Amino acid sequence: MPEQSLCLQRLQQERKQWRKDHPFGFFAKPKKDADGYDLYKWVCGIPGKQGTIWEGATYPITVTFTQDYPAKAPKVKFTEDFYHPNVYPSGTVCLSILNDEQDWKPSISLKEILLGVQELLTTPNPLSPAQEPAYRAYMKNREEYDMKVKEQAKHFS
Amino acid sequence: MSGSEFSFSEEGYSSFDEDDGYQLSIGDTDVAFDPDASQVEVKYSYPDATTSTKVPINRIKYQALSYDDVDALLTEKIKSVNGILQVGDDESMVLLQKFNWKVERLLEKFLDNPIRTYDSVGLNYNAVRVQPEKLIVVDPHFFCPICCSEGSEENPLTTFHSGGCDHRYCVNCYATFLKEKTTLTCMDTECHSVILPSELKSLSDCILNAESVLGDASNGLAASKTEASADFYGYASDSATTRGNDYSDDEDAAELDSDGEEIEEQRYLVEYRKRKLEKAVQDKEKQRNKSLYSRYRSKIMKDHVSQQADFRLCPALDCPGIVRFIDFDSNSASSGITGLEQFANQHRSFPIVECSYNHFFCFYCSKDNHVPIPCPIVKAWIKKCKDDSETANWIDNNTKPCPQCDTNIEKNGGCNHMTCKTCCHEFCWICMGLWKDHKDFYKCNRYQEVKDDSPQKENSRRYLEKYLFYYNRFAAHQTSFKKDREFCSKLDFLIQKVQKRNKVSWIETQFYEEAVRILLKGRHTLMWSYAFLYYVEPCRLKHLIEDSQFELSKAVESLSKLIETVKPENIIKYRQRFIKESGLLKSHKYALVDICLDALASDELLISIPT
Repeated sequence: MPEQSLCLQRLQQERKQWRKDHPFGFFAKPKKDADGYDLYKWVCGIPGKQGTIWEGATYPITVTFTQDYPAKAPKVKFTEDFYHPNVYPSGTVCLSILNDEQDWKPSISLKEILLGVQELLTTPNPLSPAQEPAYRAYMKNREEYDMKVKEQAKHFS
Repeated sequence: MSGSEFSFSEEGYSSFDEDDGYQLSIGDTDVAFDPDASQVEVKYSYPDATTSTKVPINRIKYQALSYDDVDALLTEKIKSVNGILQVGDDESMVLLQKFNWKVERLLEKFLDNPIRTYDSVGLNYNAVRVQPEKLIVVDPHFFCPICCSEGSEENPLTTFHSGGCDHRYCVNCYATFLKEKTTLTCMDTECHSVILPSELKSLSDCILNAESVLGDASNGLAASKTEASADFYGYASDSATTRGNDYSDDEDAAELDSDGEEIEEQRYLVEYRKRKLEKAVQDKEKQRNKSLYSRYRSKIMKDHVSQQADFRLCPALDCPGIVRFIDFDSNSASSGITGLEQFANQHRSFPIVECSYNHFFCFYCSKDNHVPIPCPIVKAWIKKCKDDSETANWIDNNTKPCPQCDTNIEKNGGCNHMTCKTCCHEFCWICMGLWKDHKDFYKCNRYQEVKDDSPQKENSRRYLEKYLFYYNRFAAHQTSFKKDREFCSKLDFLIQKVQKRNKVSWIETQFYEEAVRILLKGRHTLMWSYAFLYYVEPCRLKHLIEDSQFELSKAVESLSKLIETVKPENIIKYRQRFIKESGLLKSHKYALVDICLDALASDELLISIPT
């Protein structure tokens, strides 16, 4: 069976599963284009956890799958210059479960990815910083960091 | 490193002979091994123990191993570890891999806390694993959560899972997941259970079986192709079977006194067999990449080899050859050499080894064959070439202006006698001087030391000039070498054409290929000799080396010209000339290497390597 159809088959299943059941406050849908839906590109939203500095906003991300999915991890991106120690200036998320060489496994579902990213928001990993401003503030000046995050939350609320 | 203390001579290797004097001296390899017990021939890094003037050369003893040899070694190592741990070969291998093949570290950890050590690789110490053959389950009602395929009564899905858990997925998904991995785990998000090699084998076999059913139709095509190529070699293989000639290792010696046609032919037969063997090995390599399990095994083996100090993977592209260091020879021992680094820094030694696929490389620095110059000079020269990138930028430019009309000329192969297409000016590519003067006054291999009569500020410019002089010659030969090598890669095709056209056998065209190969080697030596001379202070020996270098460059140019001017379809007519010139080149090459070795051993030679 050709690889592409396997990939689409799985993505359709992911969509079905998501519609059936998904965590509260999240949204995820394939991007609309001229011919209908593009299953390879998903527009999603991640709510900040209640009781943290991230609460009160839904952060938009795009999840891009390749033809090699589910053998290879999808690419998860916030908006450019998103303020978080483990997000690259381009918006790409640095997370071990999204790295083919590290902890990616084909069995990881979209739901698990999104929950993983939500977890990452409140618990950054100081061992693999991806941008300077947020990392520096997180390590050295927690007040400034909290303020910037709250500002960002306002922007996305 | 402490690993060398640990030896398995008592447990697993009763054949290991203590009196043999064999000791690992360069690293933390932990399995002792008796080189005499293996079938592989022991070679030396230089054919002779002394130069022609009886100056001793330091050499290393080594073996060129094949994939299978090393695979057997790995199996033995695993077996011997299991002899102590008693946990099973597969488990021992996974544990060894986790501990970077360091037996001592593994034993320490394991004896300290077997349960935790087991756990760290995804094994469960107390659980019994499912038998590998029971892991493959054909299930008509299975739904694979990875690819979302569903089985049916007519078309059931085949599933697989690790022996330590029961997370089943379809075999295709598992195969894709495990294809590029060396650490094999269950695919489930939360599960860390390891997949053992024998379990992978079971999966791999299952997939191979499925493919062979599918692939029957396409096999027909492949078979007809093999027949065609057998046809091409047909003539030679007939004659090879009718006359059984033993392969003589002294091919270089035979080269020079091979007057009789018969000796020639015998040599070609030997060459032919060697190539046939090579082809068989290549096919094997392809086969190896085919199955999931064999790919995994070969990756594990490379992983293992690269962790061992006395093994080297051949640096040539895609070459599966592996060289194993055995010992230093008696010359080195009497010079008090105990370590490889010390050996390489001695000026009288080249750890140049040849892998089973005829690639020569330096065991110490993994660079290509840099005879006649020792490793420290190679290192200094390469660093120099890199550091001077500013100037190298424009030197690196592939063109040179014609000395008469300034047209940019790119040399795309052939000899150094250049004729400008625009103004018909004839000049030498090396020194850019008139070719006419050149025939009797060919002195462009010699650097003219400028007499010190100018003030100091001129010095740096002169250093640069000196460097550029040698670098330009080094680079010119390097470029030619690359072009010649390209030409070499097309040889097979050319020769095939010649065969058809002139209706001659494959064997009768071999002198041509041989000539090109000799040219390549000669040019390579010549190239490095320029890097060498850059560091040699002017003295009597330098003149001697330059004289010899001059002879070699003449021979290289002459053969290069012959190959360039004689069209492949006419080579048969020029056969005698090809043989004569390549023989000459070869003897000049050895003469140069010999002189360099003599010079290196002598106190007279002054080498200035900046630290």
